[in-house]
Amino acid sequence: MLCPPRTTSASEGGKHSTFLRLNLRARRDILGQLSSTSSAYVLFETMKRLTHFPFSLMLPLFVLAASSESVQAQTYGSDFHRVTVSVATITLLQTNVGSVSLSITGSSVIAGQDLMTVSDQSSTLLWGTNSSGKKVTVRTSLATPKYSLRVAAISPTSGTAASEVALSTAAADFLFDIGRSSGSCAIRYTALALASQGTGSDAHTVTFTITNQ
Amino acid sequence: MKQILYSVIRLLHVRALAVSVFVIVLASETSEAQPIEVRGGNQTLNITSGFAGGEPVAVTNTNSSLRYRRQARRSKITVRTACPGQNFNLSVEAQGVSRGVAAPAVQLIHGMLDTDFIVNIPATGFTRTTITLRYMASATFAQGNSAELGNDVHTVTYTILAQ
Repeated sequence: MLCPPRTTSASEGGKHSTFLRLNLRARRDILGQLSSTSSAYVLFETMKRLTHFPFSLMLPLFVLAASSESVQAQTYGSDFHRVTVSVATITLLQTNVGSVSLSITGSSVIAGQDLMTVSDQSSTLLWGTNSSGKKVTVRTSLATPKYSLRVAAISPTSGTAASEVALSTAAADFLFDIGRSSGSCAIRYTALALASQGTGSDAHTVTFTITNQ
Repeated sequence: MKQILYSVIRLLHVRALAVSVFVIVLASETSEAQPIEVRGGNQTLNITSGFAGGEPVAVTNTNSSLRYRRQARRSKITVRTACPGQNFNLSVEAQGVSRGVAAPAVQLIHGMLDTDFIVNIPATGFTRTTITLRYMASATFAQGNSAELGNDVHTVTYTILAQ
């Protein structure tokens, strides 16, 4: 009358289907038993066979357990895209002041000495370049100056200062090895005049350039 | 007696079946739909300007988004990148997060481990939501340029998982 216990298969799917079959058979047997046996026995047998019944109630639990396997695997899903970072060649150079004036007056003149000089270190050169192998050159727009004007880089934060140079229309080295850096240096101008040159003035437009080294 | 027992048994079976169907439908709905999706396609960030004595100007991009579904339990989203030979800096931040808590901006570095991006995503209260991906690219002058070094191409992967 009772469904004999059945050997379940090794797989989880086999177990599930076996439970279902057990349950269905149990229900049919329970109904059959009720029609042909005394009430007390029916009650006893029914209660005993209902021990099979939790299998049907456990179906949702099996489903839940199966669906939760993916949860226990932790990852629900992923997606990706590509992000490109492009950096242009950037080369920047600027001075912090628009104009510098150097004046040789009587106060800086030494009696009996022909050469008169005056210096200015009030301006700063700033640069930034992300290219390698770069240097800074300097030149003036004034082709025939009456007086000499010299320039030098002082205390550069990166790169190497060139020697002080007399400005001309030909570019001269001012700073070496500034490639891929951001920095600054003071600009020192020195004007030289001979007493024998008399009075006058020169107006220079000084151009700094970052160029390949 | 027979009818009562039969009715009880049948009722319990019907309920069990109904619960099973519901669970199966729920589980299939959750698993078949794409749990997470990057929208907006591939992105490019171009750094083109800077300051003398300073650094190049960082750029941002908010043209892509992330769409994700709620899961059966509390979940989180992580991010990682693969960018062999990386030269420049890239970070990503979640904006407009209403389901979960956005982490601070994540620096995307080649070889990084999965890093929390959005955490405490609830398992209830919504079906799916979309947030904005805010990428920020930066570089220093010392890091060079793409003409000499090439572009950084990141494969950025977002993963949703149980928390």
